[in-house]
Amino acid sequence: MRKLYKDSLLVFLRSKNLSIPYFALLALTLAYFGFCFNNYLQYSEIFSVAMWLVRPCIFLIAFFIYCSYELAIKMYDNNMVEYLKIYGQGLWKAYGAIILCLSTIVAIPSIMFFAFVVFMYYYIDVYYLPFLIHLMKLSVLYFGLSFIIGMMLGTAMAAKLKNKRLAVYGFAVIFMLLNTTFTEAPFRIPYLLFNSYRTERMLYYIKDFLTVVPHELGNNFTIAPIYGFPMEPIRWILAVFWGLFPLTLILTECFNRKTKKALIAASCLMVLLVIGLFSVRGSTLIMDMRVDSYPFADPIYYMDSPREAYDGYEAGFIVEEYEMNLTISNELHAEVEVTIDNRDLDNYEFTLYHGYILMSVGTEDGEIPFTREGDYISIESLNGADRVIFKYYGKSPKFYANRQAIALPAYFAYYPKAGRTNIWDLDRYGYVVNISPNESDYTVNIRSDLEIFCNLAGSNNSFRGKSNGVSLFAGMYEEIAENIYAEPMRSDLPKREYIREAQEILIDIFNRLERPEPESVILFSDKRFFQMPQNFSLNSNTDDTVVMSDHITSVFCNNGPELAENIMESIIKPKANIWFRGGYLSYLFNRQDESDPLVQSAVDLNLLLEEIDEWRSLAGKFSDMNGEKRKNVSEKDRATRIADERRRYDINQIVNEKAAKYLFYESPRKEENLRIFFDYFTSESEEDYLGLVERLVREELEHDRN
Amino acid sequence: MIVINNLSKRFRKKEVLHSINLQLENRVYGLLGANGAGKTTLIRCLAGLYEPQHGEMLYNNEPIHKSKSFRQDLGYLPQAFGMFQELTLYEMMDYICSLKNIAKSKCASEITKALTSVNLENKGRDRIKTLSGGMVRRAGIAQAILGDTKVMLLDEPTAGLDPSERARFKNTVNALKKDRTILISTHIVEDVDACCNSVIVIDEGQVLFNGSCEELRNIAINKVYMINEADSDSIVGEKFILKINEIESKIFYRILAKEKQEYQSEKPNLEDGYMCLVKGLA
Amino acid sequence: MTKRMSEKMLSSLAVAIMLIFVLVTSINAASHTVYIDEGDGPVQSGSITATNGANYDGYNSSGSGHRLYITLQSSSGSGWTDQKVALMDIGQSASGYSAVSGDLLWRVQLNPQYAYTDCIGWGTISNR
Repeated sequence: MRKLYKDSLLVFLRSKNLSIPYFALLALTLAYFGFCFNNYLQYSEIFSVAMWLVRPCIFLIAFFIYCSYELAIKMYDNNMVEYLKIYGQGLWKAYGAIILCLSTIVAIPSIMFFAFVVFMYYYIDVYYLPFLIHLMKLSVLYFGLSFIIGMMLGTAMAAKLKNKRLAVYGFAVIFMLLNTTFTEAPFRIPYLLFNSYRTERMLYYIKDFLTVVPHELGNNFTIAPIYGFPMEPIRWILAVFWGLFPLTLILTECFNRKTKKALIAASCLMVLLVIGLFSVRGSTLIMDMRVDSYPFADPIYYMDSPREAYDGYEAGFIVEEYEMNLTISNELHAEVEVTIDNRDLDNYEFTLYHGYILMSVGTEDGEIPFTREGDYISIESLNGADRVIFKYYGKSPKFYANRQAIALPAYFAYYPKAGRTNIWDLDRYGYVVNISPNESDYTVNIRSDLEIFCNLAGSNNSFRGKSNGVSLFAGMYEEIAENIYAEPMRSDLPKREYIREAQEILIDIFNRLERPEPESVILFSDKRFFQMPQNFSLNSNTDDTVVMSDHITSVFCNNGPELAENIMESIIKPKANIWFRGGYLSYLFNRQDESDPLVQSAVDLNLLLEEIDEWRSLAGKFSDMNGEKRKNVSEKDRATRIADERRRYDINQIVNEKAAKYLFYESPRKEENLRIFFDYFTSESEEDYLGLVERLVREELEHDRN
Repeated sequence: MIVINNLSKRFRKKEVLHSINLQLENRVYGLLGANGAGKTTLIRCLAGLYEPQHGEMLYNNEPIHKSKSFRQDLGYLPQAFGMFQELTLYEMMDYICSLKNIAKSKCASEITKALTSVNLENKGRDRIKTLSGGMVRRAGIAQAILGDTKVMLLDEPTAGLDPSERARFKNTVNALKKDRTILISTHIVEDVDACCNSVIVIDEGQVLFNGSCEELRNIAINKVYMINEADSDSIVGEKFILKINEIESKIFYRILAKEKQEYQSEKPNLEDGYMCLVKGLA
Repeated sequence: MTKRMSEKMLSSLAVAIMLIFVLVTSINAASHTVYIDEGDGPVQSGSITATNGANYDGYNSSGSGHRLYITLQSSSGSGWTDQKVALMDIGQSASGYSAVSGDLLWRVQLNPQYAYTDCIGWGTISNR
């Protein structure tokens, strides 16, 4: 076999159409490493470098498909197969030698990538072993196994399709395109044709089955350090499958009928097994434009669902105690026992995210009937029982829980919460912060291969304590300082002095506002601080910073003032436009840009009032617009409406910024105005904020006149 | 010795070989037949590339698909033969030695012997892509010889060769035929005549004749006539025009006739005997 | 240490040159608005520079045929990264901010849902 391997290698090296491009590829790879290294020197972002490193993966795989096909097809081009077959397993030996030869060919760039990532790890000087392991796994899976997949696919196509080069390269191109974001456009066609997501889901199912890269070419979404590159068990299973399945196809060409039948049967079984496993893959991180992806699954689901608002809904009972037994393997499997305070209600409502499939609801006496409707569970009378046991499993596209990482913040209904609360706020475009006003006792036991960090006290994935919510995080995540938890590989890590500084700033702010600090904010600097993965703010504007009874979660913590402002943002209700609210906060925190022409020049109040009037009259024209009316409007009216919308949009920013600038910076009553609007933002008042702005401005004008 | 009993082979609904019975000993057999007669199918069945629907093939009384000695003794030259263009002739022979499990110590001598047998001993260091078509064919015979094979199956070995290469091929076969069973499949009668001891004529999947060349020739005795074009209509009974010749501006027909004619018969050659058989004029 | 400092200086110089270039080419670029009309595919606004993150605001006109994506993107110079994405229903707006710090370029992109080109909308990016 060594001789055959050596000869196959000679054939490869002496084939100019193979060896020259191969050596050119090796040289290009080295140059590319230089580019990536330079990228790190410039921006010091290791994950950005890693993303650059994986981007050309698909090209290398395609190149190895080409190399392996062109090498294996020589046996057919040179009419060798017929006489090779008569020697004892001669054809199989020939293929075996080719595969060994190609393994050497792909091993060299694989080793180069592996060496480079290890070098980068030691160069960046952050000694975090899980990250090194992650990089090594990345190399093995995506710079090792993926290259082998390319090699096996090319060889198998030579065995099966033989000289049909058009078909072979056609398949190769399709395979390549399926591993890029190119599919976004054609995969939308079924929805255009059938107005249904089902076909799109099926197409993406096939695409995922064929995905061999960690981060598609053309994908602009970032990688969260807590999760890293996707390497869930299903990816490994698929990688092994795509290495073995082509091998069985090759073997069917090499053996006679009996063995061939057995091989075909084996490969069919393999396919069925992998499809089965793939169908139960559970929670995986999908960062692309599809309807079920991390960024879009929930917004689209809630946009398409009937709109119901549960603000201010009273459950009628409180959950006194939670006993949660969770198993986090391919997804979340949970058995949650809740103890409630009121046994006498006729009906109990709970909120549990719709992605979790409820298997049963029961009490100590056995299972009880329930109704599951979207995110809600309705249970009728408990017959005097005070404990309800929920058994469920499932996943959320955003709040993942699997063998690679866990990010389950307390404000998300991954366990049953009392009453009906919206999960998603359509107006604010973000997740509703669903935290109980009351604290409950929690006992949480989690079976997982990962070390989990929780706001409750405990260790070895068992936790106990009192809180108004339980947050769980795991992955490339650590306690980086006492009671501060974050992704160690992130460049903007939180520090205790930032949190203390934010506390002091907020104390000053509330003193300035002459208002008491909300209870949750008092002594928040002593609470556990969990930095959320940076891309958690990708599709949500509402949960950047959440303060709970015993812990804080925040996406950003670059400095004290910024954290203080984010906390203030979480306190005030988003009743006003972002420009006005943003202006309010910037002036409240003295963050205004003194060189900004808006700040430098005085606001013409009469003009401001006119603009506000104009804006409100334009807004009033569309307040009753709906889909039905939209269809029936004439072309002329439509054009007029669009022009009005555009005018409204154009003046929107300037009106709000000028209003904020005047009221909170220029006005002699600015401190009073800050207080008035703080009360407004934290109250249940439904008064339109511009109405309040107008009133205050008119009062001042009146005062000036007098 | 190879014994074929009642061999039948079908591809989908078409029966390509029908109840073939043959016995092959140590001599050179020419397997003669038209295109599509079943020659290549028979050779491939013998080589183990096809599984027949019926019948058996025995080598030294052992079924060939179970016989290890048959695998070791078999040398096969397919109709389309090639080698890795990038390797030298010697490297390619060495590659095949590895596939044939020839002991490393014997490889060099086997290769030298095989290449010498086909007059390619000076071409060992040349790349395959520099060899002519005829040299590649001879190299094909060389790989069939490697390992001191006892059974050689050569499928259309002279196809595409020029006359000098064909002559050289025949000389090669003649040099190899001692103590070997060689089966040469061809549709060129001259090749059979030049180097085969026995002829097997196959037509539409059936063996029409199995005997010596002399016997095949004798089938056409008193059946071959050379007559003037003008006299062609006077031939009685079934006839077949073998060849049309022009001699001194006159057209002469070489005709096969089933019945004896009044004309002087010609001495038949192998092709005449073959045509007699396949045209049903025997 | 010295080697690191010179690397930092070089990178700062590169960023500074880039910023100067951007500032020169986009005067008073504290905010940019992009419009998408019928027949348009994805459109991007001009870039602004910011160190404390950026605000975005968008609107999908009630005259649009389909939903419209608005994406807030940042770049440190090595490619654009999506920091915020929102899908605006017809007649709906979306706004928010990203607090990613650092000397970054920011822009918004408007992209009709699926392959449609019948959206009318507006998107604005500004400093935070």
